[in-house]
Amino acid sequence: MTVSASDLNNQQVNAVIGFAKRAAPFALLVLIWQTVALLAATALLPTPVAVVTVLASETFKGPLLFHLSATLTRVALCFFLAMSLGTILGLVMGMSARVNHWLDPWLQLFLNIPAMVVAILAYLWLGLGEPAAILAVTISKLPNVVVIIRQGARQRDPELIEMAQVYKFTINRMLFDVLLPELMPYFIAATRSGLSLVWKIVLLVELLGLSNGIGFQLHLYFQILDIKKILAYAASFMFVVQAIEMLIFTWMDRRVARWQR
Amino acid sequence: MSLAGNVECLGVHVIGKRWANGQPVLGKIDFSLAVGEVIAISGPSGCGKSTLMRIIAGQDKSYEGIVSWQGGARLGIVFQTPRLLPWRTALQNIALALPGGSAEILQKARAALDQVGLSDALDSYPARMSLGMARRVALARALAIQPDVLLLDEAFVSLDDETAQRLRAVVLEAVAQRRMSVLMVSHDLREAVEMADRTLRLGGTPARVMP
Repeated sequence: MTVSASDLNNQQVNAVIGFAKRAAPFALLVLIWQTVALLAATALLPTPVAVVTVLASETFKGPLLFHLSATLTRVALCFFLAMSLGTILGLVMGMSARVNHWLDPWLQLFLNIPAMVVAILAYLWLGLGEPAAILAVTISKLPNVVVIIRQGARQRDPELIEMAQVYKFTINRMLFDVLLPELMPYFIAATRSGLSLVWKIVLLVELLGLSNGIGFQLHLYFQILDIKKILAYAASFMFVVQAIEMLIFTWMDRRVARWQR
Repeated sequence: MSLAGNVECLGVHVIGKRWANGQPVLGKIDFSLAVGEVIAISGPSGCGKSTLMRIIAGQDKSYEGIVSWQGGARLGIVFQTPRLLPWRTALQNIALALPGGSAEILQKARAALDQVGLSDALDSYPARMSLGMARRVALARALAIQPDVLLLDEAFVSLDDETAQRLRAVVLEAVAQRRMSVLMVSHDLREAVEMADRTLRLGGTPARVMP
């Protein structure tokens, strides 16, 4: 089959139309915001144009990128720690009823401690600083991962394990061809619910006790009531988060969709 | 004509097996499988044929008795359900069961799929296969490891006649060429007569070998 130039043009046109359709609700919202802000004419509600202007100057001339990268580094670190520890704990608890019996009450307890309490206690016990911040976010996210992965470990198919034993799978194949792919949908669920949680808690611990990061900047501009900057920093963070989530989930979904019905 | 020799490759000496609630499933079952021999096990559904297969395959260890294998015997199994890894293609599913380096095992896996008539389905995932196709992949996997003993648990059920016939021929070819031994559970009397050197009929509660 050959692809003609007109086919390509059609594809491009369709892609543009698709993008426009998805962007339309967002554009409408911005338009309403601009109108209301112009009508209200108050410092409490800057126009989107004004916010974007501040966003651009903070990005290219100000410290926005520095704070953004500080926050993203924390998010990445906490996410990695919570996912790996949570996966190990979830697997062990899902496979052993005895371990589950002893750890489950703790899991319930940690599931119900507000992130704010964990953050305050971590700062009090470990002092204001990076270790306490990372620990607080990781602990707040961990129970959520454990619950989801434990569910996955419990719902594994014993028939596949038997098959792998009969055919004498090596440990590598057992891990990378049986266990991890079987848990993949649960990883995706844990990532989906987890990333959004980690973003929010990281901002909270930055606001409470660190001296850089988006959360710290929000706190600073809250104290001097600079609403334009508050909105600019919040927007920068939301854009980046949205982009990263889209990339990760598109990749993950595509991997799973290859073999699912 | 039977190719069965006298060298025993599998000895089954089960004295009894009970479910966890104490209810007996299997009674005394005693037989041996010789090199190159094909034995069919028949009996009413639910009489314990699959339980016996699980014991022989080493998946069920809570029974009284002994199952003894000739040292180093390689075992291939086709389970009642195909048990393919859903996230791996037909080719990968077979390759994973094979020991060794990747180029060599892929070649063997391809040959195995070709043998069961699926050379155009190398890259299919199990979810896109019919049950019959998945069963053929499972049989290809069991044959690809060049087993000394092949256990078939109703492996040809739900296949159309032509395919079932073809797969029986593939199995019998391996028996003739490599003196592979086969232990098969089968409902189908015709199949048992066609393939097996002898048939063990299980019956009674708990199940025993009927005379």
